[in-house]
Amino acid sequence: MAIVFFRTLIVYFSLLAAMRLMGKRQLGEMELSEFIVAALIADLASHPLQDIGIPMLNGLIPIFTLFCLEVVISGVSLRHVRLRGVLYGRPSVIISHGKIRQSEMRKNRFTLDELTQELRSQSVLDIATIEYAILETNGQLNIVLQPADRPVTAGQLGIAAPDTGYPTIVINDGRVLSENLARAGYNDAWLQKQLNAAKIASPQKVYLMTVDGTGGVYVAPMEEK
Amino acid sequence: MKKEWIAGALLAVLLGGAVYNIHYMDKLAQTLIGSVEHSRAQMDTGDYAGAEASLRGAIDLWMGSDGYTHIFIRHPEIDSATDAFYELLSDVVSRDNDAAVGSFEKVEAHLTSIAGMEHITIGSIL
Repeated sequence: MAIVFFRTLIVYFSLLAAMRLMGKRQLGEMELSEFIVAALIADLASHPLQDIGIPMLNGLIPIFTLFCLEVVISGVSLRHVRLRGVLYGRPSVIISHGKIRQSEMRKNRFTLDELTQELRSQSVLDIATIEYAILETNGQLNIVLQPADRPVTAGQLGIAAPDTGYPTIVINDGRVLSENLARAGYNDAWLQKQLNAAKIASPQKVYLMTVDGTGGVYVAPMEEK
Repeated sequence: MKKEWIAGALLAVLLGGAVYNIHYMDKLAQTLIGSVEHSRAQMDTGDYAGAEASLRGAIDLWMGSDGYTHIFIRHPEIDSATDAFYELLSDVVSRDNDAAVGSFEKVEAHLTSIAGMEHITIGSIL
């Protein structure tokens, strides 16, 4: 029992380190080789955990080998475009000027159902409004609408849009994030003033509070438990 | 690029470690088989005390390598080899020459198998 416990700890932290060092924060957007590594690692890690008759190294050596291979291959492919194309494939233009390129669909084993599902998920219902739909190497479908169907920007309308900057979280679940507060250029006195204005007694009563570049404040009070 | 070099170096270390492991296991198995063969020869000449001493020396070496073998070899394989050693020791101590013939073969087969399973061959890889 203790062996399984300690093995689980070792494998968990080894996996955590390996996945973290791979540099991908969004695991849902993995490239092909990363997906292979992730799928293999998950399986490899589980065997020595379940069977204490298998040496721990039998699980760890493949994990570290895969991790090293992934780092080397991704590093080399960064510098060699051809190798990148071979390993990860190339983006495919599925729709061009409102026309579905059926040969590209077949080449990518992409069905019409999958295409329409992807389009719906991006709120695009009319294929004729699409100038380009590109199937990226990580499996994502990116859509560029026809110029006439693109959302109008403030720049196109000649309107000066105020830059509100990026909203910084200053209170997270009742905890004041002092570093963020200082980075946004405010202090505890300002914070207390904002809370008083919102009729909130203390930061502990705040679920979320953000401040943007123009001093705009958003406060979500903590709900009563 | 530093990260890639470190990963490449780690791969080389892993490969080096794997090759070292093959040599270590070969050397250990050869030494043990040598001792077992020596014990067998002593038993054939009727030197039972000498055969027992040689075999106990081999068992001590095998058990002393436990720290290493348990890290690199599947534990059931180690247990099978250990059982085979003690089965042979029992035959040697009881001076049962007929039974010992098979037991000697069994120990040697286990040791050869343990060393052989680490060897890089097309068959072992595929």
